[in-house]
Amino acid sequence: MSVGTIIGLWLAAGLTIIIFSFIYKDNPLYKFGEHLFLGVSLGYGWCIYYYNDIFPNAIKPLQEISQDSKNALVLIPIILGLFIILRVVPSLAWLSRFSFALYIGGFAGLAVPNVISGVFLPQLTSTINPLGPDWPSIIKQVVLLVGVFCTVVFFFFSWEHRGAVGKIGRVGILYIMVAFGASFGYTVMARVSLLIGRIQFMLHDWIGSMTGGGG
Amino acid sequence: MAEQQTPLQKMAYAILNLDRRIIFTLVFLCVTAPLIWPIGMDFTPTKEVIDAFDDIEALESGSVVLISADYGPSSMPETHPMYLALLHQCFRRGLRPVILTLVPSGPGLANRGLLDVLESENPDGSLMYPGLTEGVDYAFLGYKPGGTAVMLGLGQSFITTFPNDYDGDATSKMPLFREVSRLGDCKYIFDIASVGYPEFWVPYAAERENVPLSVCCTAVSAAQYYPYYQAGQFKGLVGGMKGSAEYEQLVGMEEILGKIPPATNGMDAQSVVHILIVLAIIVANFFFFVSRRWEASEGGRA
Repeated sequence: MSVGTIIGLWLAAGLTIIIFSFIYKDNPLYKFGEHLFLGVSLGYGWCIYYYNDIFPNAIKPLQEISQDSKNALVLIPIILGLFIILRVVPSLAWLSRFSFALYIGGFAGLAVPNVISGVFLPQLTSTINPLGPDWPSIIKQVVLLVGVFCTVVFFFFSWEHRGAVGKIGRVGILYIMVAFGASFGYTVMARVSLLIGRIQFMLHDWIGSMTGGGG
Repeated sequence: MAEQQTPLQKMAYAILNLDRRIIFTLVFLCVTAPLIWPIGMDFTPTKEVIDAFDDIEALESGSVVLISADYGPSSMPETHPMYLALLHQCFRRGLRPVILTLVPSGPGLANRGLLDVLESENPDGSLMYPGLTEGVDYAFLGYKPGGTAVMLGLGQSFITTFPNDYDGDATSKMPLFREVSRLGDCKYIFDIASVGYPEFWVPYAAERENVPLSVCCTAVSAAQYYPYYQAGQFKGLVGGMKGSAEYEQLVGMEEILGKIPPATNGMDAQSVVHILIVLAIIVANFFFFVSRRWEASEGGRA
C-alpha cells in the first residue's frame, strides 16, 4: 500500500470520527470538519464546473474564434448567462428576464410533449389496465384503482369534504398514510445503509490496513 | 406521583426519557457486531431486481449498454456495489458499457469503479477481462452538466454531446462511437442514481428513443419509483443496499471477488438494526400508551 493511500485512509478515518463526534455533542473539532467539508466541496464543485462546462463550452470556443468564425455564436449564450448574473445589480436586473424567458420557454416546449407522452399517458394507461388474467392480478388492479380514485378525490378541494366525498377522501388518506409509511421505512433503511458503509470503511479499509486485511 | 412509582413505572419513564446517545450506541453496536462476526442471514432476490438482471443477461454479446452513474460518495454504500456488479456482468457477457455521469461528484467514483473492475484478477493472477480496449469495448465519457439537455443531446449524437471522453481523448476517433452514434443505437440504459434523474431518463431518453431502462436508486427514492416499474417504464428496479446485495448475489460477486461483496456484507447489520428499530418502536409505544393511562387514572383520583 502506497504512502499516499495510507495518509488518505488516516485522513478519511480521522474526519469520520470528527464528524461522528457531533453525536455526543457539538464541539470545535466537528465545526472544523464541517467547515473543511464545505470548503473542499465548494472548491471541488468549482473546478468540476469550470473544466467540464465553462472552459469547453465558453472559453475554449472564444480562444478558437480565429480558426472557426462559427465559434462567435457562443457569445449569445455567454451574454444571456451574464444577464442572469446581473440580477445582483438592481438597476440592470431586468435584463435577466430575457435569459429566463428563453430558458423557461424553451424548456417548457421540450418538457410538455415529452412528459405527456413519456410519463403521464403511460402512467394513466397502466392504472386502467383491463382486469385479469388471474385473481391475484385482479385484486392488485382493483386496490390500485381504488387507491388512485380515492387519493385524487382527497386532493379535490372544489367540493367540501363531507358525506360521500368525505368518506372517499378518508380512504384516500389511508392510502397516503401507507405510502408515507413505506417511504419512511425505506428512508430508515437508507440511513442505516450509509452508517453501515462508513463503519465498513473504518473496519475493513482503515483498521484492516493496519492489521494487513485491508482492501 | 414520583414517590409512589412502581418498578414498572420507573422502567417505563426511564425508557420514555432515554438519552438519545444510548440509542446511538445501541445502533452502533448493532451495525458493528455483525460486520465483525457475520451471521450470514439469508435473503432472496426480488422480482424487480431479477427483471433487471435478466434483461442484461438476455442482451446479445457486443450490445452497447449506457450506464449513467448519477451518484456521489454520499450514497456510495447503496449504489456503488450495484455499479461494480453491473460492470462485471457487462464484461463477462461481452457487452460494451458506455458510462457517463450527470452529477458533479460522480466522475471520480465512476472512474475508480471502472478501473477496479478492469484490473480484477482471477485466483491464478491473470486478468479477469483481458484484451479490453477503451473506445472499442467500453468508454467512460465523464461528467457533463445539463441533465435533461445531455439526455436530449445523446439522442442526437454521442460525439457532439461528449466531444471528448473523461481522459480528454476525442470520441470522434473511437470505433465504438462510429458504430453506435446516438442513444437510440444503445440496447439498454441503466441509471444508477442517488438523485432524481431516473424520472427524467424516462421521458427524455427511454420513451423518446425506445430504449429499455432499468434503475438502481437509493432506498429513499425506491418507494416513489415503484409506479414506473409497475407501468413497465422501468424494466427493473434495484432499491438501496438491499437491491444491490440481491444483484451481487445474481451476478455471483462472491465468487468473482473471493470474499463477501460489500452490499451483501452489510445485510446482516441492516437486518439487526431493523430488529432493534422495530423493538424500540413497539416498546416505546407500549410504554407511551401505558403511561398515558397511568397519568389519566392519577389525574382522575386527584
